[in-house]
Amino acid sequence: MRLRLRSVGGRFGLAVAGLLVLVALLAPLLSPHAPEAMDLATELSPPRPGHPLGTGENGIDLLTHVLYGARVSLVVAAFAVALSALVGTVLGGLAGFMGGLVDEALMRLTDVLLAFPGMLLAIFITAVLGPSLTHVIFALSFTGWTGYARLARGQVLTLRERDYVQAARALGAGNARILFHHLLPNAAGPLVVQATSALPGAILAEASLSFLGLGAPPGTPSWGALVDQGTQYLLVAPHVALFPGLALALTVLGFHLLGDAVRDALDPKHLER
Amino acid sequence: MPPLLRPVVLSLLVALLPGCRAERPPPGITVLIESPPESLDDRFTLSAMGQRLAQLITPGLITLDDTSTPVPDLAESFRELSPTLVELTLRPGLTFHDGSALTTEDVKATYDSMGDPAIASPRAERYAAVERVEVVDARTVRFHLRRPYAPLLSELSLGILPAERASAAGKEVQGRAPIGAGPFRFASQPDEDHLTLVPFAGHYRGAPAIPRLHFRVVRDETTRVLELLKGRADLVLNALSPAVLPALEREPSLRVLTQEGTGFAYLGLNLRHGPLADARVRRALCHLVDVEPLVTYKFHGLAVPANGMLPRTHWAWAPVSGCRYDPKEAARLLDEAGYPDPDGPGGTPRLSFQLKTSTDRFRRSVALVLQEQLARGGVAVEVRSLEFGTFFNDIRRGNFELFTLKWASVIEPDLMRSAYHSGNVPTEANHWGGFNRGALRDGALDALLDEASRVSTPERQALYFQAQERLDVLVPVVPLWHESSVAVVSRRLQDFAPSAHGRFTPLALARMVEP
Amino acid sequence: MKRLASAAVALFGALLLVSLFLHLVPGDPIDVMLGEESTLVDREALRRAVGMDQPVHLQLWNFTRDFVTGELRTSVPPFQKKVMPSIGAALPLTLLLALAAMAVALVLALPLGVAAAARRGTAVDTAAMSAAVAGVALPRFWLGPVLIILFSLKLDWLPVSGAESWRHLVLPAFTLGTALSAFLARMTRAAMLEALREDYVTVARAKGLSPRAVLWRHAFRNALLPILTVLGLEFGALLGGAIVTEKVFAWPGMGTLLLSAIEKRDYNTVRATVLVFTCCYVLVNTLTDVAYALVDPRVRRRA
Repeated sequence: MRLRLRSVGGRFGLAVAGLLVLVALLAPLLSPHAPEAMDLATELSPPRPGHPLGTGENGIDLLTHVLYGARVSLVVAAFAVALSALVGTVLGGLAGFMGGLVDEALMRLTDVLLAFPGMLLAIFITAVLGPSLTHVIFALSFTGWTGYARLARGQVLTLRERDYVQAARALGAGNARILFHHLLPNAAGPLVVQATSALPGAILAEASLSFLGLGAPPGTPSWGALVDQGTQYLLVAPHVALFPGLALALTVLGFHLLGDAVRDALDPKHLER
Repeated sequence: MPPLLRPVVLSLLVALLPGCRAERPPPGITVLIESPPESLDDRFTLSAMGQRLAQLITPGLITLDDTSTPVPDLAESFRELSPTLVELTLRPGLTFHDGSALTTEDVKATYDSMGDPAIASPRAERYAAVERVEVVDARTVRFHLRRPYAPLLSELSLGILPAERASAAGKEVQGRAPIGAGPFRFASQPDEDHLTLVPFAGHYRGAPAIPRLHFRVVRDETTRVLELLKGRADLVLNALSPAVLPALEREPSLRVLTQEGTGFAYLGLNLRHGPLADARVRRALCHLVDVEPLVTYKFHGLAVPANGMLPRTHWAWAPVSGCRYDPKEAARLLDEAGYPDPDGPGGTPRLSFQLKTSTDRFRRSVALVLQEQLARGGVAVEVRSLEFGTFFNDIRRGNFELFTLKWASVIEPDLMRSAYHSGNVPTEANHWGGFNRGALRDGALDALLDEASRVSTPERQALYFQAQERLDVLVPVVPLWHESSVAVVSRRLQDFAPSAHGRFTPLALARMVEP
Repeated sequence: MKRLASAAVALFGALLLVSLFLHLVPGDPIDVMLGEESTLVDREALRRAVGMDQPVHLQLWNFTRDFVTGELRTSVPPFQKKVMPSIGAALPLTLLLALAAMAVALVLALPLGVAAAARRGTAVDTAAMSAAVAGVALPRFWLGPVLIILFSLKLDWLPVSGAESWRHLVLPAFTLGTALSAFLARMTRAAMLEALREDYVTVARAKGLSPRAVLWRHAFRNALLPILTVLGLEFGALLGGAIVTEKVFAWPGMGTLLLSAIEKRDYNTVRATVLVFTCCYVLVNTLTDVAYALVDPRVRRRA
């Protein structure tokens, strides 16, 4: 699978994504302070030497937290998307392949979950389990897998009548072999597109939960939590909400563009040139 | 405009029209509150907000001044005739908002209704000690008690209702449009979020000068601040975080008024098992917590470091030594208790705890500061912030090691008995309702607190002194601070003096001026 | 009929799901209401008053019966108000907000999308689509406060919060509509591009119609239907997004009702609000499906 990201947007997206991964990996080297370092006396001070982006609540260094925040955003979003895709693909693939009661039950379940404000469900889950990044990943996956399930089911339904599948079946391949060796790999394109375009949504969702105080545990550098802090001090220290908010917006923007580019590259129907 | 859009836009405009109400409310003082009252009938108020609003409409016989001393309100005077008999005399010529006279029959009817199963007041238990209320004459009333119960005086602040409203038949109408003898009269409550009161000319101190009081619920703090800045609100009482106050203070159109408060914030400790069962460890934690910088930088001085539950302005407060910030002493105590530092400063901690807190932003940031301070003394703390319902459930059931909470208003010192008496440890038997959540069990303290709830006021003071000294040794919680009462007022609101308890009643003495 | 059945299943599933979660969430309405300011009260009497001493399945049955008959009351003592009037007051406000956000989204997105499609590959296209993508990236909980600061505080054009006049609607509608408008602009562009490739457009061009007429009268009209379909599908997401937006602007709609009910552990109100949310969602989705069937491209082209 060769990706060719020719558009400006695609390149920009790739650059942002790359930068983000780099920042996430190198956060300890790039940060001027330790993330847990505090200085109450300099609480909420505007940008100045030593604190290029200013300080936040309890005098934490904002730049440090924005840099470390990339880790949280990336890790949570990546895991949430991966888990959703895995669970959704397997369940959807099974539903499409087996048909009948399994299919019906699974589709009704996705109906229920889709008919439910996803954010609400995530709020519920994190409220029950308590704030931790693992719980956020779980909550986001719990609501996120349905899209993949429907997609995988649809793909399997169309693919299973294709000649090569029929041929494999005629050659005596078992159900599992047909599903995992023939059907799902061929359904991968749209699933990858779906996963890439789900990444920015997952990043935003993690930030929203942290904004509500239900995401990252206290003290964890997270953009959503920083914006949450900042909205309280918008009047006295607007920089606290501004910089993490910008970092968040830039990241979501980058991944969106990357997602578009991946879709254009993988999905010929969207090719415009 | 594309043809399909037209109906959409039209229907939107139509839908909006009923929403267009007059922009300006009738002149008056607008007060922003953070949550709606659950009831304006004092017998059913459970939150501080409900009680503070009910106090304006339906005052009681007695009120409590800034030192939490009971002083007369509708009563002119009161006397403890014996440990089981209290006599009160009403002010002459009291009337309710509907013009009818307030007599001792109304007082009796109000208090009798507290024990009425048809009324089912959730606060009924507080009056369990009252055997009967005796009407001596139209202005004299006696409370006969089953057993000596000194805290009764504080409980006599219950709002007095007209006798026919106090009955089960009047419950519904009193809940909808309450009547009392307070300085302000109920005018309207179109929905949960809006309440309007008007002055009552027949109040015993005369009509308040403010022509109208609008209470409006604004749940979001930033919005409350912005409404103040835009001049759309005249008073916000104890509903702003300290960090925004310096900015408001700089604003020429606003004033920030403060008064030492009666709330008590503390770090709760679970004494049931583990290292915290050892008083030396508890004292060590207390020595590691440095409240000064928190008060200076996070409260901008609008709090007073606490040495116990009672604020220093309280009539029963004892000047105990408390435990000052002293990391050396803390290290010594921890060594002595058998928790030496394995590898010097940094590295492996002496002890580890989990600290639970609610998702409240301020509470969380304080928890992080405590975490950092304790870590410097070799005590590792993991902070868990839980949604309030979950958090509170854990605290009640003893499912914690450390937690931060506060008593919103410490008025009656008998609260110490609720919080520290071994009979009030939350258990299955009391449906986890006890307030001694850390499970302190100390016989000597129990005896002092029990005795103090039975004797008359001067003797109580001496007993509470001893109890506070005992508590200072036991360190059942790490005392943090007493937050000040903070009112942000506009230039239109003059002569408003915030009370220690964060009440709205000072509005009765305030004036409104047009700038 | 099948549609009705699946809608019923979705509603019932949502009710079960939310009840299950309410059951799992620790703490009950009485604890939360009493909170840390709690005084000595008779907890058990309060629990009986709100029917919490009953087994779960009975609570569920009572809820369903009361919900259908409109007799439902809140789970918060002492005055258990009826729930329906609160929902009756909140729902129109949320729908109004959602519709206004949609209007904002349409007004912003259609010109952007059409312009981008008409000048495909030019700087106009790039700029319009960048703006659209940027719109998706702005978190509502951040955009809302920034708009308040800018338009309410600095410029003093619009009120800060509340729902008293049409002016109160502007900022929340804009905050809620931004993300949708970004999404819609991209949809519009794609639908326009597809429409512009169609035969009849080529024919219209060949007939010598002005490019403007071709663009609007032919291509846009035909692109509009898929756009409106997407709009219907996004309505549900809009309702979900309204929760955060309402919180920021203290807009007294369903989201505010729901958040405060969760906070208070007001089981009945939470269940009822979620059910109404789900009803709206299912209803809109069904209507969209029906509309989609009606305007199926093949049907449309023959007409």
